[in-house]
Amino acid sequence: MSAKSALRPRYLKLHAVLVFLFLFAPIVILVVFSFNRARSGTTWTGFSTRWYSKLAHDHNALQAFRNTLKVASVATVVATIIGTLAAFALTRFRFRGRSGYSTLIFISLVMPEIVMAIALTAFFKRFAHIDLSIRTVIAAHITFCIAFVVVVVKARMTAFDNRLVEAAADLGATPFQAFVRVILPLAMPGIVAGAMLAFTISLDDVVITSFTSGPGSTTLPLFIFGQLKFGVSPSINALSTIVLLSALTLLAIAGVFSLRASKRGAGAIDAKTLG
Amino acid sequence: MSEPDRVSLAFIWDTDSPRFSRRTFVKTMAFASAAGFIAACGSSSSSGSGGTTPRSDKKAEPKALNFYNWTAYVDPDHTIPDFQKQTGIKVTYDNYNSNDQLFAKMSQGGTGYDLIVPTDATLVKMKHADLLEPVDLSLIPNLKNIDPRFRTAAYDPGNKYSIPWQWGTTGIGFDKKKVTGDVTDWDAFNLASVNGKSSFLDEARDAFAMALFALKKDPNTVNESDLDAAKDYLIELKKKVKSITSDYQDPLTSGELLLAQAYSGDVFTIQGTKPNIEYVIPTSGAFSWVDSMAIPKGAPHPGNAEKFMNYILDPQVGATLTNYINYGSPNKAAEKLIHKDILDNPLINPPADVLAKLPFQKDIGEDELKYSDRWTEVKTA
Amino acid sequence: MAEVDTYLPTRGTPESKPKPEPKAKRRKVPEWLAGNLLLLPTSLWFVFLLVIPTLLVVAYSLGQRGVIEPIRFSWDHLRFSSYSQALNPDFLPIFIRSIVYAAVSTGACVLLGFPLAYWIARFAGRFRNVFLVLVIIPFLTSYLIRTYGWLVILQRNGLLNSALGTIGLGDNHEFLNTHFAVILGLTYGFLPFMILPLYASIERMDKSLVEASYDLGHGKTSTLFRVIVPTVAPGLIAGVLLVFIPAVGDFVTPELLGGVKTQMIGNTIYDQFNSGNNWPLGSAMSVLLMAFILVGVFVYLLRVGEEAL
Repeated sequence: MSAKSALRPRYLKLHAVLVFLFLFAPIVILVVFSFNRARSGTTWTGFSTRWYSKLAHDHNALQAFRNTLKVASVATVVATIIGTLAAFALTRFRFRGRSGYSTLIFISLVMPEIVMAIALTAFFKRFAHIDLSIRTVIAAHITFCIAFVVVVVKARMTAFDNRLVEAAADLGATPFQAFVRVILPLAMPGIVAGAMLAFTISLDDVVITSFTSGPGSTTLPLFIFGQLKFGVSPSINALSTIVLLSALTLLAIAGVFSLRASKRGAGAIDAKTLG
Repeated sequence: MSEPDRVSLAFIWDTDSPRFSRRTFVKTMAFASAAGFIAACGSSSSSGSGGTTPRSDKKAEPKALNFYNWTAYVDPDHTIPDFQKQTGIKVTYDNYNSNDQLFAKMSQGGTGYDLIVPTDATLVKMKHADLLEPVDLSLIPNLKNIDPRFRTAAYDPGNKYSIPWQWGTTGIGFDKKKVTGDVTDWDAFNLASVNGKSSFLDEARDAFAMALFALKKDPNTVNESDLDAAKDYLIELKKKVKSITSDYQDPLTSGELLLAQAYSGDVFTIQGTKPNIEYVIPTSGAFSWVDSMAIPKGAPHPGNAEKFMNYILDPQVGATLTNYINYGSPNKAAEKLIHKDILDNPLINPPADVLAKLPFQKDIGEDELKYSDRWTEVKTA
Repeated sequence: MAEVDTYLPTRGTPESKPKPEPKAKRRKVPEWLAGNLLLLPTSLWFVFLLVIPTLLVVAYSLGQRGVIEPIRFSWDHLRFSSYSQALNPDFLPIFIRSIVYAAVSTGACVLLGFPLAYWIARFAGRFRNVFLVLVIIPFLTSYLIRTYGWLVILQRNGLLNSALGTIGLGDNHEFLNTHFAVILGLTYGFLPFMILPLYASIERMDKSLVEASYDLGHGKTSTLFRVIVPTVAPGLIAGVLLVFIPAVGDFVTPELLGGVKTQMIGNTIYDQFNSGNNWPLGSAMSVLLMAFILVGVFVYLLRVGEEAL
């Protein structure tokens, strides 16, 4: 196919369908196997819903799931707050050492997981003498989440129209008012996107968690990793299916709201810009 | 959801500064030199904290036990729930997959676990590294129940640091329907029917032992030329296998692997779902191993760990455990309660002449590095 | 250090340089103070949980190995032998393999991601957000579970083989534990990191540029490479980095989908901390991997950055 025809909507659409098939292929498998009769994630033996009822009594899996949610939500909130502050500083102000800060953030972004895992474990055990626990897991997660928040928020902030802030100032707003009324709402999509990215990355982490976890801080990915030995129980598929469905529902709701909000928001900005 | 905005490189890293590279270089150098200082601080303070303080009063221990054990190594309905019921001690239960994973976690101390179950060789390593708390045997009256073989074993004579949990052998698991040819010894890896469909363990000593047994050498050797021969054997073997993994159970069940170097108990567990998977103890010999309970140094609840050790050595508890997980039990007093088919299975409880060819892994101290380096060569070859 | 004052004006953004403020009473907090204050939490966090830990790894790489005590460090015996060991030609194939895997996966991500991002941005209309969310949805489940899904597809009696068997291409192919499986896993794992930044930059592309190009007599091929590609270059570069870098250092994917011939540098590093019993070597490899990535990115930036930005 030549580049000439490659960008025709028809071919693009076909391509899109294929890529989505690729993206969802393993997801379909995982949902299907949550209804498997035997305790196997790889061999289909017949339909059953028993893994869903079994899940309700699988204390360890549920505890791991709770730990995962706890780690991911605390890490996301903390990383989003301090990451957003950093992104504001890097885009709104000029001062010495900005590139130094940026380098730090960049390093945390490019550090391979395995290296960060080793470094953090060394820090907790050898340097700080902190016993490994769920707190060390959270601290580790915050460390790798910050950079993602900064990058996304910074992208949003750099792109925004400074004239709006000037307009607000001309209209008599104090810097604080300008921040709360103008800058923060404008940055919000970036903050939300950064938080979501941080949350998904935290949900998924195996390597760093496995190095930094202590008693009782097994997260779902770690729990699953432990199960790989005898094959992952379909209970985990059932749990993932439930998570997937709730996420879809939440995102659908959020999507509807943000669609409305962005329409209103866009109108407000237009009005201000014109005014 | 909001639209992600443009993430261009400039946002990731400010690239506008022309002097960036030199300054970065200078910073990097400063960074590297500071490293030594920090490490020095770290090591000096750690040596300070590693004293031999007497253990605090056991009666004051809170009713909690942090237990770090192998995956799928308890009877989920009895082993821990019954202990909790009996003692009121709340057990926090986490799992690991390999001795390496356990050792890596324990090697710097301060993990907060009270009870771990290392295999004999790892137990020895941890004992040398001063990572274990001695066991107070006066609190374990049930010790009398265990087979004398495990009271005098070379890895921990007198059970100063360890109480045996289960034992078994490291042999071969294979699919008897699909593998054509005789699987009796380690050379089964050469069978045409398993070419590209086999695996060996991702544990240096176990893999080398396989090679050394096949070459009729001492499986605990520290002789460089024997080890080199074993290394060459493994590198050659690598061309015929599909993977080097300790997670062979699921692939063996699904038919992805037809033959694997395997731990006895794992294969017996697989047989529950797939009866045509067979286990053999290779005729030229194999390692036997003992997984033992031990208390890591600095454990917050060592007294509760000892209570658990004593609990496991109870005949009924030990029998329930063994009946569920199908490993060999060191608990002599439990024998009458263990299922007949487990007791009479020569693969779980081999006769004396086979037992003679099933040595334990020996503690070889710093010579372990001879294995480590060659293992890295095998894996990266 | 005057260069810190060079703000980064990205071409095409409506950002204006902060003007000297006429009303001096508003400028109570100087910019340097405000900036540093806002950055205080981040920098404190990173000093303790990034800088010091990394320095510990650097220190480890200069220490001495042992079985009993995995690492011994002393000021008087700084050892650089781990670095010469890490640069041993024996490790070269693994290093090259990691780069090739990461590069091929990155290429695959571009091929899969660019047209998709382009389609979403230009033709998906008001459903754009829906499709973007659909890109992310699979990634809300655990990585291990997704990879497990691939296992089911790729295994010998798996779906791919039965599908190929049905259309008469044979049903006994080996997919698992091959180069193909690892590259597929890496591509799958990092695809969203390519699609999202690409989408963002395509979405911002001025449609009239494309039209102008046609008006000036350029064909579609020429328009693609002369107008579209340069305009989306920032997103493309960001995507390439966000895929390539984590892919080079990955070790879970080869661990799960790979076999004897697919070990990557991440696995080798991991092994040094476990069965390899060689923490200094593992640390030295980590330091070199980081250095390689930083230098590579920096050189890449110098080359591409100027044209692209």
